[in-house]
Amino acid sequence: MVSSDSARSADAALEELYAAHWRSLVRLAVLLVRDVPTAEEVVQDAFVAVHGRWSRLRDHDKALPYLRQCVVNGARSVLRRRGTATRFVQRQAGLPEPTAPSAEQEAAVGDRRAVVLDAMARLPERQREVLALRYYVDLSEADIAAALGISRGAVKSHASRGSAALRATLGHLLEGTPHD
Amino acid sequence: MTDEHDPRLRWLMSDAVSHVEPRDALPQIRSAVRSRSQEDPLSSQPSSSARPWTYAFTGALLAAAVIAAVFLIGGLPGGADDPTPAADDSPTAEPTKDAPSEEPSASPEESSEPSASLEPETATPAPQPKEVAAAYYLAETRAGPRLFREFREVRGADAFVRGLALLQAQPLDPDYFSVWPPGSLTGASYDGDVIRVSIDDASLRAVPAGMDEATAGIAIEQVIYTMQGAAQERAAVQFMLEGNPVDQVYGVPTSEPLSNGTVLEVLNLMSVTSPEQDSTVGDSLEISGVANSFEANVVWQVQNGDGKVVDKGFVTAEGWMEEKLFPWSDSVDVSKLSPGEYFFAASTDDPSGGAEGNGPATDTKSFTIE
Repeated sequence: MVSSDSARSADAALEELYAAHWRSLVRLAVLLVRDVPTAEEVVQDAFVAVHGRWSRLRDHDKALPYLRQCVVNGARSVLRRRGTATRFVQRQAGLPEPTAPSAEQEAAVGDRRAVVLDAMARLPERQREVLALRYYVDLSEADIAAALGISRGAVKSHASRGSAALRATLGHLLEGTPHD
Repeated sequence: MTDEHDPRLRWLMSDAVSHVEPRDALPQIRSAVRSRSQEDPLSSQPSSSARPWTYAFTGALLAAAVIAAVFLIGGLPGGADDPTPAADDSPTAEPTKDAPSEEPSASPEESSEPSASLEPETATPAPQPKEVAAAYYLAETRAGPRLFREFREVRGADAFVRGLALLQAQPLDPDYFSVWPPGSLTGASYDGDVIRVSIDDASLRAVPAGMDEATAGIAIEQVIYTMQGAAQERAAVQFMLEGNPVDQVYGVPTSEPLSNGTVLEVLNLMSVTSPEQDSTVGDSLEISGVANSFEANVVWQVQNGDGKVVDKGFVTAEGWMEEKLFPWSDSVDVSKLSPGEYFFAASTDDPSGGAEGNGPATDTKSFTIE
């Protein structure tokens, strides 16, 4: 029976995809939604969705792009449910960085990370998505366009505006030399 | 993107999340997947409340729908309860024209009334000849929304234009509905590999207010199945917006070409082709359709305007069990029936008598005997 065969292969595929991509997808989602529990939830939903859609994904190599797309869409709807990204950042602004640093060096590292995530959260939705896919996932312009359903020209303009905004916010961090 | 900060931005961004070690969610994902696949179709039956996203419904049709509903008591349209579909990835539910034996009376020559023509009938001399095309429409069943196939004459330059026109038109059968408002689907092309269907506007990306997830999924299947019928191929469908793949349509992810969902989960297991809705017949009633029914048994009945069963019988479809619908047809002598309005209903056989699953799948048509 086709149903049990495809169910088995969907289950097996789900486990493989999870092993390979769970962590990196959650990290991508953190760049989009800022906090880890929400990111985990969004990615978890994405895995459930790709499982449900498995038999209809003609090209199973497209499972990862599909997962990423579900993550981006899921992150977007989470943020919209919460209200605007700006309000979200304002609410977060007063909270301490959750990974309480013990040493001064770690505090600086934690601060830097928080500053970057805050800066991302302050960007308009599309710019944030484009930058995360461009800089974190390393997707090409064409792949970003396909994932977001926008033109390559739009990707280019979101990317340049987004990185300009990030440079303005993160200027002090960009001046230093990258460690490691 | 050529700026000197690129490497640094890239580094800052991966650094910002490098400490994130997510919890293990595999058990939750597994159980979510399991509970999803075990959902009881009866409990997920969509409510029959107002659907703001069903277009072009009129009061007259609602009245007809009520009559149909009364008629269907005891045998509501049912869904995927057919036993053991066999493994098969072959095309299903034969698209329009390559199955002549399946549609003996769907051709315009044989219908005694030119009922099949889209309503905004302009009087201009026809630049395009009308041709019979097929489209799939939604109807509520016990198993949830399912697709039913309807044939109809329509003008259009090619099979895709005709299919798109039908998708955005009000179906002849008042039990059916479409969820694509006129103008929402602007074009389709087929390169031999992928069928590209353009949507008109970014607003169609979002799920319309009041549309549930199951209906949105079937709405996408409606386009896929109809376009595959036009292409005569089970080709994958890519939704496009302004020349680019669009990430989602009605909330359903669409950035990749989508193949059709499995027949037994998407199509109603019974679709009547003949009699056509509101057609007129003489002494002989040609009945035909496609079904996947237990032991290939298709049961039918004719009911008069008072709801009395005046004739019934059964016919054997060309097959069952596989992952497809099989043609069936017969000719019924109605010369002894007095002129008037009648209902025709065909159902899949349900050996459990409704005790298991969703009960029989049914499709109904009203017609007139002269």
